[in-house]
Amino acid sequence: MEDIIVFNTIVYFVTRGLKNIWYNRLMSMASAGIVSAGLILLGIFLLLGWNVQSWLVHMEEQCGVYVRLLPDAGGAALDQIENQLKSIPGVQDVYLYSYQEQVPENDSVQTVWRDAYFVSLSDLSVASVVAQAAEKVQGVEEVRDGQEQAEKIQKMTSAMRKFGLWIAVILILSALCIVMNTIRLGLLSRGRELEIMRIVGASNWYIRGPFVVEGVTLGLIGAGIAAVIVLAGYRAAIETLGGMEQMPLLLPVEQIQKWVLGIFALLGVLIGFWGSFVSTCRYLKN
Amino acid sequence: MIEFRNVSKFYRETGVRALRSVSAKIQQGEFVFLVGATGAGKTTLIKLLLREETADRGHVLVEGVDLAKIHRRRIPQLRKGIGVVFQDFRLLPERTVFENVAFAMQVVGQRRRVIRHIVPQVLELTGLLEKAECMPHQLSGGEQQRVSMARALVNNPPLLIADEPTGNLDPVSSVEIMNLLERINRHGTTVIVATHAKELVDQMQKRVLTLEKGLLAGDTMHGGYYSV
Repeated sequence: MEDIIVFNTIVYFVTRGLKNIWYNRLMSMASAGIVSAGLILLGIFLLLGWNVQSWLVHMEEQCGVYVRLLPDAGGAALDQIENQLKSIPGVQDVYLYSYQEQVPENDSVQTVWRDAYFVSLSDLSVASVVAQAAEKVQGVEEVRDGQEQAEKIQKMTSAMRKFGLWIAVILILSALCIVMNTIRLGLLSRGRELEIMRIVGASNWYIRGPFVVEGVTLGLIGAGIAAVIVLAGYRAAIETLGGMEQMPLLLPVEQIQKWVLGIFALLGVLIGFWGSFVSTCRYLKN
Repeated sequence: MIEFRNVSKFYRETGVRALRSVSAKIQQGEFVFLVGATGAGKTTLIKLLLREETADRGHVLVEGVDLAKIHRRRIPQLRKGIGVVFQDFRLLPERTVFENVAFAMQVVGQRRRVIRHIVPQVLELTGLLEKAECMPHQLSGGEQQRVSMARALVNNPPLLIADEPTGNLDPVSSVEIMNLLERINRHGTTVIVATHAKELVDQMQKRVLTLEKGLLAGDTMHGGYYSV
């Protein structure tokens, strides 16, 4: 018997909650919309952060410095340079490669081949030390420390993420207020019915239940819309940049979509639940 | 069953001393009129019984339990044992008579089968069986008040409180309502009626508690409106 009562109560909560959404559909749309807006912004900065993080991890795996040689370094000097580079503590291996460079000569431009080494490291933390040592090797023209670049990019994206996250937090708090207001309007419009419920002995949770269902549903709708927009936008962005073949360092959609869906669903439920719970608590207290 | 022990209530917002050391006992099965001018404290006494307010001093006991000590969470349980009828009926306009009465059973978690069995019985008791599918706006004032009473009774409460039940009714309907209350009381329900209806109080010769400016000015067993 208890199971039937619980089942009937749940059915009442769900049907009444969905009816509330329909009756106040304009406010409901506004609530879901603002939840979406906040989560979309959050999603953009999450994707940015995840991709940068993935790229930084990739860079760490590369873990090396680039050593460009003087134009006249060649032949036996190459072996000497290679041995000296290998002897620097922290160096894992060295790889010789050549590349073409355009150099001005007289009134024309000549294409010349230049030699360089990629020095792989055992740990990115020794990059600057190895770079300094490599600069002292005779025949070396320039050393580029990937660590410095990585740190610059990391700082920049960290600042962008913090800014974006603050904006997202503000939007999410706004969404919370809008949801609370939507629920409050529903409470006021059903004031007589709720009053009778209290008089005949309905528990606070019986009164609160449909409004919590309403809030959570609005949160989930907002989260669903945001997830679709963010994932579709991300997929479109990858395709615009030439697809995964051209941008192998970007995280594929299939890898991130379960995280986006999960985080958005959780936040949508939390915003909806919290907004409706606080609103109904205040109403019942008064 | 109900005891007011030196109950006082002061409303700080308005500076009104609504009740001053009111003491009275009401036994199970009694029919009690609560009379007094507007502002005498009748509604405050009812609010204390429903735990909508708590006394500043003294105690309100129902079946030996001090209402001030009940946790907020247990208030719905208290109210399930009290049926309340109001002057303005307070029906749900978009529901039928049957649905209005059934509503009281739904919110306390009653099964549909039980609701379908009990509600017609209560409608018959209140003379509304033929009006079960009518909407409230299709009923007279007296009929609407009877719907309100049916809703108050449907969960079989041991106590029924009526706050000015005939306030919006014509004399004929008022008599019908009072007769119905008396019939309900004969079934064993304790009935408390707050009213200004002097003629009905005089006619029914029930126990009368008279309030005057928050004080219990009179308590007569078979009294009239101006028994004091």
